[in-house]
Amino acid sequence: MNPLKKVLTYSRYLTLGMMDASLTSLSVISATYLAGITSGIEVIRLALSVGVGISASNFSGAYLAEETETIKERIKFERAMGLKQGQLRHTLMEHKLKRRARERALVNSVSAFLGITVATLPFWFFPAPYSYYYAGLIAISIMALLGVYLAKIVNRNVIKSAVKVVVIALIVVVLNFALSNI
Amino acid sequence: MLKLKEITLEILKPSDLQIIELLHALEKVAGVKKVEITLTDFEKSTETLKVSISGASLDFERVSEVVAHSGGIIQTVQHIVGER
Repeated sequence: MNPLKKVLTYSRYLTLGMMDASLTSLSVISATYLAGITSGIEVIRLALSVGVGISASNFSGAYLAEETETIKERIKFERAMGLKQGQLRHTLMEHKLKRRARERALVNSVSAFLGITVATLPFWFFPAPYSYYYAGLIAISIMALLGVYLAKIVNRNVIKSAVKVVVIALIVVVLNFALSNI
Repeated sequence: MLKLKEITLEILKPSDLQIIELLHALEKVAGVKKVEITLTDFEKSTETLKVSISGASLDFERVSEVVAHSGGIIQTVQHIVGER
């Protein structure tokens, strides 16, 4: 299967990863803006370190959850086939389930890192405060695109879905600004 | 000694293992010339297959190993042909 098509089959993890990335980017952008940081490279450094943390967390979280599912699935098949527990270990079927777990974890991790990298691109090219506006706009646009993508999968209203996720993004920004006043 | 030319097996496999994957695993066994797989029964998590394998000289042990390694189990040997 074409690698891009394969990634799209893991839409749940792609969406979760990109959603994490966009919301985290918005938080980093809001926090650095409120802290009065004008150096683009400082914002990028901070965003990338947060990106590494989110990616590692997404990879390990998704992998552990999927690994548990793999074991549950294997036991389900062993029971259905009247086999002893563990008899389907190291089989082609189990390798396939494990490979799927690794791929899903990778999609969840890489999509989060890519999302943060893309959202912070304006800090390479534009001075503050424009870089902040553009970065915020990119993060919110990613969210809107995710909404459209999710709606397309299940044949729902794309505008409604896009607005729903953009509202989530705006809530994050508002919460960040509200927290800065504490 | 007769050489094993054809075998027909009834195999139970998990539904997650695709027929095509089993076919590709069996085609790698030395001596195998043709593999024919038919789905004969299916339940929620399992599928029963009729697998006919033919070749110049089949190694039954190796075929059994490949089926087991794929995640299937041989339930019955339904048909067997030996030739000099």
